[in-house]
Amino acid sequence: MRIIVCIKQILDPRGLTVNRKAEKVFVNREEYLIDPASKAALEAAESFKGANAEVIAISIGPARVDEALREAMARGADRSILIRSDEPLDAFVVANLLAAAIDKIGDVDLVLCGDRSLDTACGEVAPRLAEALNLPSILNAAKIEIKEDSLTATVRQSGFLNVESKLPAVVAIMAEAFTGKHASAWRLIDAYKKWSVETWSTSDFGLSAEDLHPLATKKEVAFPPERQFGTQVKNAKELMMMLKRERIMSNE
Amino acid sequence: MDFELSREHEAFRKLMREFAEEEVCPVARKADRTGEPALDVIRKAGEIGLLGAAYPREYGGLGLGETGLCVLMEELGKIDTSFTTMIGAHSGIGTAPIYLGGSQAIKEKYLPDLCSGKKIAAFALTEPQAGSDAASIKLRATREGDSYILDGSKMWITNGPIANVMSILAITDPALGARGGATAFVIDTRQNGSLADGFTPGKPEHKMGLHSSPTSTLNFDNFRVPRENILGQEGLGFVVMMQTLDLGRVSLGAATLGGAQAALQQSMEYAALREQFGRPLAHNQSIQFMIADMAAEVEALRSLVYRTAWLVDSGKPFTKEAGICKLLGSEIASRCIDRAVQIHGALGYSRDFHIERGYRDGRITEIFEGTNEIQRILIAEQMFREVGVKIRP
Amino acid sequence: MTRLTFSDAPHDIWIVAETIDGQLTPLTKELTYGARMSADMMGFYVKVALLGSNVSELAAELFPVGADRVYVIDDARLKDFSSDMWTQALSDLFAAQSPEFVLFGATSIGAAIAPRLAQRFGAGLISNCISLKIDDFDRCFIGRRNVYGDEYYEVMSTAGSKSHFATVLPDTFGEPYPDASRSGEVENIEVDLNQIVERVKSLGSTPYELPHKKLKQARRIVSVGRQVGDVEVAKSLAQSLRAEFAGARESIDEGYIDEDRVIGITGERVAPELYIALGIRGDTQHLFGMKDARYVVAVYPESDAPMLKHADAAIVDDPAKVAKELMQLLHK
Repeated sequence: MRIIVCIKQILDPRGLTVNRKAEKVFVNREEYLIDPASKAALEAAESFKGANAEVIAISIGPARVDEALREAMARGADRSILIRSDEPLDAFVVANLLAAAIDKIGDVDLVLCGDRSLDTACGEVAPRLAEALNLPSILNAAKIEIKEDSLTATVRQSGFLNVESKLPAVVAIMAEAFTGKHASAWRLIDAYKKWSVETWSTSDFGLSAEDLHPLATKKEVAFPPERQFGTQVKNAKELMMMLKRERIMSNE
Repeated sequence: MDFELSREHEAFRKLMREFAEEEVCPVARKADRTGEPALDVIRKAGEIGLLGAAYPREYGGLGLGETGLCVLMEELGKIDTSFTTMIGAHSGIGTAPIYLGGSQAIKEKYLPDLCSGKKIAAFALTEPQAGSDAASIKLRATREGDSYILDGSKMWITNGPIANVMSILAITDPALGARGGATAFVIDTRQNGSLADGFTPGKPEHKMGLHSSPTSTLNFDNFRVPRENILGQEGLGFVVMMQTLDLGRVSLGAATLGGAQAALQQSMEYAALREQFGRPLAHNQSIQFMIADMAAEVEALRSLVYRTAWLVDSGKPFTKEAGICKLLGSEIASRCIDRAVQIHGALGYSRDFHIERGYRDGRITEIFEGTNEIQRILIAEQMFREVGVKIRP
Repeated sequence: MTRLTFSDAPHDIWIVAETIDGQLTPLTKELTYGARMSADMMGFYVKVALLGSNVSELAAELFPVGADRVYVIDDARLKDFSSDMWTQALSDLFAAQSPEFVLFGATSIGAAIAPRLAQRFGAGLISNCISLKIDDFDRCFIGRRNVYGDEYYEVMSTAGSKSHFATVLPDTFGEPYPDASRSGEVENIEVDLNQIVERVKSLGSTPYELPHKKLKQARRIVSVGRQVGDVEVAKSLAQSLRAEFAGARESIDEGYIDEDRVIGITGERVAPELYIALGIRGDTQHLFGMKDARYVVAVYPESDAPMLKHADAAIVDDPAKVAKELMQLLHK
């Protein structure tokens, strides 16, 4: 069985200071990490390795993403592929590239993604990728099991429910499913000393200029108003309104 | 000149930091209070391969050399000195004599289990009458056919109550004494989960700090060691142990670097938040000076420690630098943690707070693995040697 | 890659409606109302795609909040949401109707189908918008989305795309002001759902517990201090909020928490999205542990507690009473 895990590398928010007053994001420490949801996806993939699964990690981005893919190998991936791109990409182009890479790899039974990344949380790549590959997609999954040619996933709605799909399929794993397991240090060192990250180019797939052109672009960053510390609130009702306004309660 | 760690060392540092923060940090306070060593955490560290940082892959290690061990000790040193001490005694000085002096068969027998934490090592040199004066050891090893019989005791042995494997120095020729008559062995102190015949560890010592790092005496009574367990050459065990201590001083320097760095970091964050007289502590010059002094010392120590590790890994002489790592590292850590206590005021004196634990725990680093007085003598000896003068008999 | 194209030049602004328990969701009405405001400026019609079983009668409720035309696909097989059915039904509808702008709710339905449809039609998509407008010069969506929780925003544009999709969070456009005099047209659309095979089948609900979260990674924390009043109420509040329960150091002495639940310089340092401090005075030692929280609520009986000055929302009152009221509001 061949499993693809799509990895996103993000800037570690612990190294950031957001100054709302100055309207600036200060990067105190520029460190990158594998997005927690991608980590959860890797962990889910690794659990099938006993069942003779080949796990391939793919990511798209600049040279620094190499580090994330080496960690992916330390976390169980057998191969890793970096599609090099220094351009800002949107989920449309990312899905097109991943789909093309997955087609090129061939014989893929399962594609795992992180459900929502810690940074932009847009959650678009998995369903877009499923669409591009014409596969079913299962989002918000906490756990998956594979039985022959089908899979059962436990997904979160208001509670949890089980869903079933034939393979191949695209499944987005939620960050909360990650158990906190650490990478193997032996594999981590092998990932640097013994194994390599295959580097592919965005032009390797014969995609059209249209397929490589982002349809959503970042214009600028903006900031919430400065926090008003000590703002007096009269009662629970008013507090609830404030929490709603701040969207603290919107994801119920 | 290149001051950057290799990519694999950097990746290892990230993993090590994650492990220290997520696994060691949450249990450290409780372990200090109860005195229970965090054996589960050691097991976890071993399972993912962290404990073999310094040793080659063919023996189950990571092949990251002394630099790798320094990374490990620095990241642990930031979090908890008790845990760091256990790991230092295990991964560093407990295992190193086997690697340095063991035969191929002995290395293959012991190193993989030590690298993966299935077994825990200790370094057994000190005796009641032989602390800094290590050459005065008395523990006797008597030849009997293909074995040696150990009789006597060791003292202040880190991991004594928990180790299954020990590197130990014993006198095989009393006429020659430590120099020429001492032999190093690797011994199994536990078999099938119970104590090996002829071995009894003492009760864990009550110490000022390092509460969760058990230290004890070791008693040997008619304890049998096969001859193939000799580390290095018969009669030349002192050399293996001294080489090991040299290495240990470098990684101990790294551990103190971590401790000093953590004290600095904690102090900065607290000084920025704590307000007195209507402004953060950080706005006071007296505090700023303390922070600046800590930063200066930490930076100097970092350069020293990693340069020394580089000397080790490049096969260059490093005895003098190792002594300086231990001397400067322990004193810088003590100064930094002392300033951190001062900056935190009464809170720094609170038992609930890890700075207080660090203060108690850190003091030992000026004492163990060769007191700082001994370090100064060794450093001076090396210095005078450079101008052709011998200052020790 | 092959993509579906619209039959016509894209035009008008669309909303994909959602229902819950046979009613339109408040978000659907809010989106329709929000679309109305843009439509007037751009000279668009506001069109709503209403899918479900027995939903035809709901169409009329959409006119007062701004709809001009409601396309109803009423089919028993659309009773429960199904990604493949909905995607196909909407895809047929869009192919025939050529929408230029489409609004989805930022809900689990929107998250499942908006990206699929956007990919199918080659549309730009901005997900989870907290503000959204149509740029009349570039004829595209300009939307804000949160980055790293809501530390800051990214302003996204779909310029360069022929059609523009967005999923929108509640309270982006605000409460609609219905105009009862408005009316519109309903068009019933027949879609042959027999052709569509739902590839993901539900097997029903299942008990499941996510791996235990450490306090450090908690998204919400209810934290108590000596003045909490009734600690059991605080615990229930934590449960209703799906929050972790913790406390200031003095809470150990009160028997409220165990040692591993302490927040502060002598315990854990946390950075949740929501931190509710009930009866905590707020010494530096405590503040150190929670200063990275995104939004802080403090309830304390006396107005001079430092905790109140470090809160985004400060209530001077009995913490247990406020917690109880908050729970009632939550359960409503």
